[in-house]
Amino acid sequence: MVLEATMICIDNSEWMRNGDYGPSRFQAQADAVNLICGAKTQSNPENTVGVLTMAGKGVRVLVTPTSDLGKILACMHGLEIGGEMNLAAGIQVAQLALKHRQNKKQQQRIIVFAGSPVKHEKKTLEMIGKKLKKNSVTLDIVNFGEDDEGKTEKLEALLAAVNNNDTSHIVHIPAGPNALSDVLLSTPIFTGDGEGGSGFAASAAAAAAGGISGFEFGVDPNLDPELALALRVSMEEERARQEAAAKKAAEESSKQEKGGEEQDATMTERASEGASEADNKKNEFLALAMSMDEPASSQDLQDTEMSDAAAEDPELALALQLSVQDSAKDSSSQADMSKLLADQSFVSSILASLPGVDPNNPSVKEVLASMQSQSEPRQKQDEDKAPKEEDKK
Amino acid sequence: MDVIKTQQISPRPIEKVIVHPLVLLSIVDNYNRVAKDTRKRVIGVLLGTSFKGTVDVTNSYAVPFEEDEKDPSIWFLDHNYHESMFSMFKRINAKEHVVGWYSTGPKLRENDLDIHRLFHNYVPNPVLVIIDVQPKELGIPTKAYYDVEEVKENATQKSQKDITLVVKITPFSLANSSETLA
Repeated sequence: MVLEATMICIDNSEWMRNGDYGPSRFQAQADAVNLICGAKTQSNPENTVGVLTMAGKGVRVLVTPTSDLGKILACMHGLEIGGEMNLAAGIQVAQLALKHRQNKKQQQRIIVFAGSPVKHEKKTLEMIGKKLKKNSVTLDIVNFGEDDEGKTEKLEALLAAVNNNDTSHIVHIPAGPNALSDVLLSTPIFTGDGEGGSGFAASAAAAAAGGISGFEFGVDPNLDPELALALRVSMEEERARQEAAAKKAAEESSKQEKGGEEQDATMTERASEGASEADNKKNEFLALAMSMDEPASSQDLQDTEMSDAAAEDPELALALQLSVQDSAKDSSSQADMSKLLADQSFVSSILASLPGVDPNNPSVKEVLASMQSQSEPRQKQDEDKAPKEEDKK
Repeated sequence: MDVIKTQQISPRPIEKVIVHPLVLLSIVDNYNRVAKDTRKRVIGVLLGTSFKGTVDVTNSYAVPFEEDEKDPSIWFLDHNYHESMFSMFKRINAKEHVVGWYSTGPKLRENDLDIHRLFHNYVPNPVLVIIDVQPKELGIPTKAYYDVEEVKENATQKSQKDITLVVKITPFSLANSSETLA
């Protein structure tokens, strides 16, 4: 929110007819100027902005520094393109104009649009830069167009001469699909010396850049807190709903994989009901339970089951992977899991439905036997757990 | 500005410029306050009426003006200030129009032609009056100029011509109160 008086130097030379910055260089420049004026006046109501043209018959001041945005926009109409840009004269006249600003407390700033070749010598530009520095005027240079006759070096030299504590900036904008003003929005010219930017600039940047930079949802909480809050709440609701739907889909697909056993169905129901809650970990355990044997059993079995399940559904695979990682880390979770799935008949039904596992396999039988010993006391726990879960809904 | 244009559709060449004493007083006073011991000059706008080749300058005010000493092509005149000021003056006396501008000189300078061109936006035939604020000898301290288009080698060029403007300083006894004070 720096109090600033800004003079914008527009290039209206013949080079501005070029269409490499769409629709034409001059139009792109005019849009950028409008944006800058808006941003400056928004960031501080006492800021003033003036405009002058550098080419044509000579340097001509269109608007002396004023905070009236309408006047500035009006003077941009009916500008003629022609002649050659006189950068040195433009900057010097801008400096004179700033000298006569009404509020002496305002910081002096010049923004130059350099879109055509610079015919001055580097030395001349450096001297001008030094004079600007002496009068504590900061300079922003927007370098676009072609780079003839060492234009970039000259401008860099000018910037180096003016720069004081990194308050002056230079921006090089190559021709491309992006509009000149959009590229400018993300530069320090708009965000202003690393203060974090004005609300206008940030929200404009968000709107232009598709919400990548700036505030969330492209709405500034300062400008419109209610709208921002509403957007955030609805986004979260949508996210939660989507997660629930995704979980349900995962459960549904795994349910289809394992076959339609009653226990499966009940477990699936429990799992899907559990999914509607925000208890992710429990859901992962349930999913894992449906596709896994007891955790103590051989790793091969687990892997086989996991890979089979994973082949069917990538979402399920992700959930399974996550749950495996979780189970690997947390031993207590394993205990939970074993409790959940220790139903003997349920396990055997799972094994039966799996393509790679033969229930008559001696190792599987062994596992089942070990499970059975634990199953009776656990069955009761399971049943207790089931109504508990349903109560929770 | 539009009102002026409709009135002076066909400007006659100016033959006489009458400068009222109030104008001289305010210019000298402004100069003494602002740029007395400097090499700077004061520039301002002349208000008045123009009738049948005679320009009657009745009022004036200075405008913020700045020029670079080393490079005469670098100059800045706050024309927004002039427009606001003129609109306020118009409320007091609707008959007074912009008739030209003045400079404290003491002589013509290179950028005068450019500044004169700026005033063509406000009046079709502006007059430049150079007021000598520190006259060495006795006489009329003013000199009036207007610009003429000369065709010079296949290109039109404007040049300023010193015309035989009889600049009369006429103390009007029947004039408004400001003049009786002067």
